[in-house]
Amino acid sequence: MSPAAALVLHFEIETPRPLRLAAREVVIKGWCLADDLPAPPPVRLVTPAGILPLTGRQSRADVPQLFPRHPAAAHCGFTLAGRLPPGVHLASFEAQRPDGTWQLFKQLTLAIERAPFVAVLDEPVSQGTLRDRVKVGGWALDVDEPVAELTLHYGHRELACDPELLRNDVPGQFPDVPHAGRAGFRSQDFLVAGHGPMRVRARLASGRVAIAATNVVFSVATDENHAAGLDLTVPRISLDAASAARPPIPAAPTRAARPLNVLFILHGSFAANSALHVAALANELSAAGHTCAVAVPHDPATLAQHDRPAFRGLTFAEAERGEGFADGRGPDVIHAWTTRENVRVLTEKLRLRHRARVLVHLEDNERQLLALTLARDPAELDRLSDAELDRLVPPDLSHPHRSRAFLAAADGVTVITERLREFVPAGKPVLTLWPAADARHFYPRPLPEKFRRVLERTPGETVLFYHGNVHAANAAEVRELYAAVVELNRSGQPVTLIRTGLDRVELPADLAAAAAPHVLNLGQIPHHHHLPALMALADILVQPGEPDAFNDYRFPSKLPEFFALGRPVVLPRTNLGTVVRHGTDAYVLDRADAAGIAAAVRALRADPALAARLAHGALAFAEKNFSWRRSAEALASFYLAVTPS
Amino acid sequence: MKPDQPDPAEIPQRVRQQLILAQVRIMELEDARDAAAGRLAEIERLLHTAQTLTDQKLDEAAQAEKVRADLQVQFDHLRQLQTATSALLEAARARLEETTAGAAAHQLRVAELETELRKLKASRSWRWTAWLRALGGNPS
Repeated sequence: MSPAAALVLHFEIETPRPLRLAAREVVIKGWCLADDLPAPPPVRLVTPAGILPLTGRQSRADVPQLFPRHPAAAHCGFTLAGRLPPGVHLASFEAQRPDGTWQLFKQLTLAIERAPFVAVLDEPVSQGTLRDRVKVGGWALDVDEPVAELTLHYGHRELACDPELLRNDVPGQFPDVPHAGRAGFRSQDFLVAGHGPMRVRARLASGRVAIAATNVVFSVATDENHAAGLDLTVPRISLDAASAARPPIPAAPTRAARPLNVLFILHGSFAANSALHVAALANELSAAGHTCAVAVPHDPATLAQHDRPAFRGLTFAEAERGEGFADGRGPDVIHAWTTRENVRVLTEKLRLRHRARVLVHLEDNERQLLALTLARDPAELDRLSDAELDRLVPPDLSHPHRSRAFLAAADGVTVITERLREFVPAGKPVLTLWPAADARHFYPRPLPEKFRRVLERTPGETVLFYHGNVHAANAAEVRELYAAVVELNRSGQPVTLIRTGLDRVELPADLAAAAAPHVLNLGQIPHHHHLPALMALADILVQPGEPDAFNDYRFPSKLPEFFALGRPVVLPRTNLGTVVRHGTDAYVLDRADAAGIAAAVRALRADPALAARLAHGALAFAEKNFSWRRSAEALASFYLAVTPS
Repeated sequence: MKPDQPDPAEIPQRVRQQLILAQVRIMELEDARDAAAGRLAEIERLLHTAQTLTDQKLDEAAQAEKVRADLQVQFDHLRQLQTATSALLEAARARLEETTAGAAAHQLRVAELETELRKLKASRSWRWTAWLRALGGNPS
């Protein structure tokens, strides 16, 4: 038999493209006509999963304008409809020739979404508000698999239901679903007090969870476990009332004329405070066109705690293998974040391999930190031999001798406070790099008044906030803060301290017991960017401590965050406390010990004008002095100055 | 085993703590929701792009197929022409060979006749009868 002559077809598929259909019933519309045929040819859609037949014809007013002499133009509209399984199919549109054979005229992709899980509550009502404590029932169906477990949710309530009950009416709606006849469910118990739209949550046979809304709202105020005075319909009081105060997103920084590959090497995971500084700088440097990678010795998954990092996180092993930069080159600059042993060892390995410039960042009096951790005298540690120190110094602290040699060999040094310049070898290029607060999250936040009223034990209570771990180096000063809280409460000044962080050093038992009623310890908050909303609960932000060989050299990470939030800041006359002006920028204490902190809190509560002035002063100081953008620009210039062009 | 019952005096403190931690949980869930919404939007965009690209490639493939079919028709026509031309060429070539062979035979015959003529003219009888042909005005 000779092949039939090909039709000359004119057509259009009018269902919006790309073809993506959510319904189980797939419907596609268009028009098609053939030269030399007086009637429009039959059309169909062929997919590997099935065929959609022609189910309707439509009159067309527009096609005759295109083909004024064609006798079929006025009624060449078509509808193809039917069911297809979920997935992406290759859809072939075909027209039938007079001899009965089919001719392909168009191919498109056709995406069919899974049919939604459907739930209907129809006993005792199918819509509206249900105010009676009754048992309820209905049906719930997923066309692909039966329901294994089912619960009903409304407000704060969850009620178990018996699934797989007989329903004679559902198969009529879903004739091709074999389990439709057992789609019924019924609550095991009478509804209990609660308020809200009713939702059905099902665990399906495969373990997949499906949720569907119903048309019923349940609203019952009381039952045997809920007193009438408890209003379940009140709106939720949000803690984060600050969205309106959020500052605009700053413009992108100036692009670097000579982009560099920069590798930061951290001594701890991405959960450490140091990582906050490195992440902020790396984000800014990346925005300026540099490529940054950050290597950590352990727990690389903690990178997930950072909000939108613009750098690559690496393990030390990955850094050693030369990973990190998409251009295949190694780092131009290695920024060793402190002289800690694990950082030093990796930096020296990579420096040799990549011939990179090495900068070392100092953020602590490492000698004092080691002495505090080992409970030894710094001078005594200095006198020990290398071998003895190798045995004593853990990888995440600095070796007194080797760190000096490391600094001497560096191409430059960055320091977080001016005092740390004492440790920088003479003649070495050095840059002071103040930290800042992440401006995306730390900005002036109003006190969430409604939430505070819920939280307060006594109207007018003072809330203090302190975030950070307690370790050997700061345990004494945190003790002072706790003692201040106890003292204030004992003297009739109600104060609550909200704490976050882990306690690696325990408080004395008597102080812990006395402070317990006044301290809300929230433990570790995994995401740092959730802290500002909690900090906004505070009236006063306190950094305890006093001038000493540890504090004089450090810059507590939390201070820029305190200042950025727009609350009065109490701090000791050490590190930043030697720069800010007492009574203008902050409340500066010679010693932020228990007595000093208590006195400062009393003074600020007694003088709202002073508190307001210091809140304003803190913000002004933050705006002038703390900016990751400015710090990163200074750092980039420093990098360029030490790297050959 | 039942968990330890908290000291009644501690309950308000625990409630306050849990109140704040619930807010933290809400913030985490909001982050997860926003991240999931972003990922979903990205996947939707990818699917849309992939489908659009595939449809475009299908159109290009259909167009290429049409061009291929047109070229095939032209090819078939040229092939037919080539076949007919080849047949004509073969016939002409056969005729040429036939003609060439005929010409060669005639050439051979001419050569034979010329040889025969030369032999005749070189013969004694031809020479001896030259005077006789001269009387008729044709001595050669």
